Amino acid sequence: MVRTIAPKGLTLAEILVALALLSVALLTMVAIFTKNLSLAGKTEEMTVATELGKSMLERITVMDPDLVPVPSYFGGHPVNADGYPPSPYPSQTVDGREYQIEVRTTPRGELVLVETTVSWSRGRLSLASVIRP
Amino acid sequence: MESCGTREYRLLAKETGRFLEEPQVGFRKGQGNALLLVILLMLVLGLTLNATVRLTQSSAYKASTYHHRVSTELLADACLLAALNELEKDPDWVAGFDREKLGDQQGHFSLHFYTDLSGLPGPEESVNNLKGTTARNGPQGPGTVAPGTAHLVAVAEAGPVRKVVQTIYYRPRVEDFVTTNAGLVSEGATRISGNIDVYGVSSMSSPDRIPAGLHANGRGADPSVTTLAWNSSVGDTAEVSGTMSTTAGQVDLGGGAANITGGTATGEDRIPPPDIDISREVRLRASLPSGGLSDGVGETSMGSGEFYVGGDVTMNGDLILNDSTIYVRGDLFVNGTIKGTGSVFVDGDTSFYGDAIVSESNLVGVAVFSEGYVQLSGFSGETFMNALAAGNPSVGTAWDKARSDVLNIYQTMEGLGGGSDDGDDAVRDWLDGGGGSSFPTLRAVIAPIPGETARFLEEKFDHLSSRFAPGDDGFFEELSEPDGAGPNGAMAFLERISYDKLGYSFFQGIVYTNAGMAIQNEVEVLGSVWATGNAQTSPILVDGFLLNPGDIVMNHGAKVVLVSEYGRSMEDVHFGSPVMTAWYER
Repeated sequence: MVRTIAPKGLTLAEILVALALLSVALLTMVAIFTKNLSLAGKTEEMTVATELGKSMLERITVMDPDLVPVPSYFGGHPVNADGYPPSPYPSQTVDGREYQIEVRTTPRGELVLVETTVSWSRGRLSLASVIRP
Repeated sequence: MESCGTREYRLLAKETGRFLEEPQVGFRKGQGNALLLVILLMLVLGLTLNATVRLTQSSAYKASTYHHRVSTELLADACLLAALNELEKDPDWVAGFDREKLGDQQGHFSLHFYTDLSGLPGPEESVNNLKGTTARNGPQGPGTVAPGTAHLVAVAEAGPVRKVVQTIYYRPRVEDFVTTNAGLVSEGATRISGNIDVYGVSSMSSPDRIPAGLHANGRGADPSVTTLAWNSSVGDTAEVSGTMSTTAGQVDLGGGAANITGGTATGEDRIPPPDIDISREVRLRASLPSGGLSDGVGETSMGSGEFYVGGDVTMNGDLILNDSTIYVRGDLFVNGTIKGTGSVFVDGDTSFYGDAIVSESNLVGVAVFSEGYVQLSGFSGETFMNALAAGNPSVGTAWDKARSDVLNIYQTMEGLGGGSDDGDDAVRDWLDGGGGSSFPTLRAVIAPIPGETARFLEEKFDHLSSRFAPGDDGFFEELSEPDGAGPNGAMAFLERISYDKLGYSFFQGIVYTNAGMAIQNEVEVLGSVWATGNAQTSPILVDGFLLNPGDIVMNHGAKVVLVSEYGRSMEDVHFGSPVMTAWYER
């Protein structure tokens, strides 16, 4: 009688260990990917916010500084409030995300400090410069 | 030594004579494949994840760096602007900045001056040589900071980003204005009536004369158009020790007796006028006190120093300068007399109706600098009295009555027959019927007002009071002599009644406008006259002549003495704002 020993399949224990390892690995990866995506989003938001702040600052600095505190135009829409941009500050939507822009002018000796603050749901940054009145 | 399993296997093979598969030791074949696969998969996924994380981190770093880079650019620019502002206020400024912040913005800027005259500054140290007369060592090496310049090195830091920006500022000197041999330069056309006398002197203290002429850049002029004209009348003379020249167009000397030593020339090179932002000069002084300079009637005597007014100033009366430099952020209108030592900077139009006698002081070299048009004309008594009446109804009533009396008496006389001798009676009848003359009232109002302009009007009203005195018609009676001559003599007197007077203008220093200049007075300038036309302003109509920016019109002659060493005797004097001549970053 010939006795043969057939190769056996995967054992339950093997599968369980592999699955456990795989689960842990995948969960870790998903977590890291999620965080990564979030970081990528923040990166994009920060770039957009920097651009918006810089653009606003450049716009203010080429204006007659006397015009800054009076009603003016923003985004092509007339506004009738004090300040430039007026309060409540206008927002801009870029890639579906809303950015609030605030401009403050403060006398700094003979010069004027112009500060733009861009705020969005997950962050806030400020850019500043000085201009001659 | 064999293992127990192997020995059994050999025994079994010997007993049965069959070949049996040798049992595996440890794992069976295929066992652990799943684990191996998972590990390999994890390895691949881990590598992919690592790459993605690194990529994202790199993007995040770039975004952060971009923000910091923008911040440092803004900080560096702000640093240089703030430094420029300090240097404009004080050319000796060497305090610098140390880690200055701008609001909530990340980062800071610094600017440090190297003040040792003999040593060599470091590559990030600034050197101020604005008032120097020789080159100084700078961050670029020995002797690299020219006199009259400042080499500024701004260092801005935000997060991991650091930015170094260098710039060189140059502050024009007074002598830069007089490097040409033209005492009068217009960017547009120049038209002069009356006598012309133009020459130059090497310095105020030296009588040595040098050639000096007139020049019109004739901007945009057709070659056939006259851009430099002398509208002479019989008896007028023109003495010019230099050349009367223009870039384009024609030089027209009319038919007058002209002695132009250097002759006339067309197609000459343009003389580039200095470009001075007077508005900025004025705005920078916004924090100065007014020193009492404001709208008003009477006399204002300024103290020594610098003064600023943030709007139009309309003065009827006299403005006295005592080593005073005044800055007006608007129009300056003086109907009366402006005189003394000092300098006048006006952001708008400058109008002096009456005498203007201004000598520069404090070694500034500037008499009048105006962003808008400069108009010099005679004093207007009517304007003065209207201003006085505006704040005092009783004066207004007396002033209105005085003018209507003269007009009505004149009209009454016009109705008289040519042979009538009743001119004097007409005056008497009118005054008796109208409650008497109001000139004494006006004289009494003017008397307490100080200043030579008020004295002029007081004398005028005093004179008219005596002519229109109650119970005394002798003056008008004389005018109507002989009997039957009619009222023409009295009418001629009434016609001549004027409250105005011609003005005279004298400036020692530079008279400069970024618009045009219209001068109805006799004018004499020791220095030079410039009309650059740089201002964005519309033409104005002056006595029927359209005055464009850059044009100069002088209707009562011109005497210009170019003082070529005006600035050279004041080597330390730099005028105006430093201007950027070079900018580079590391």
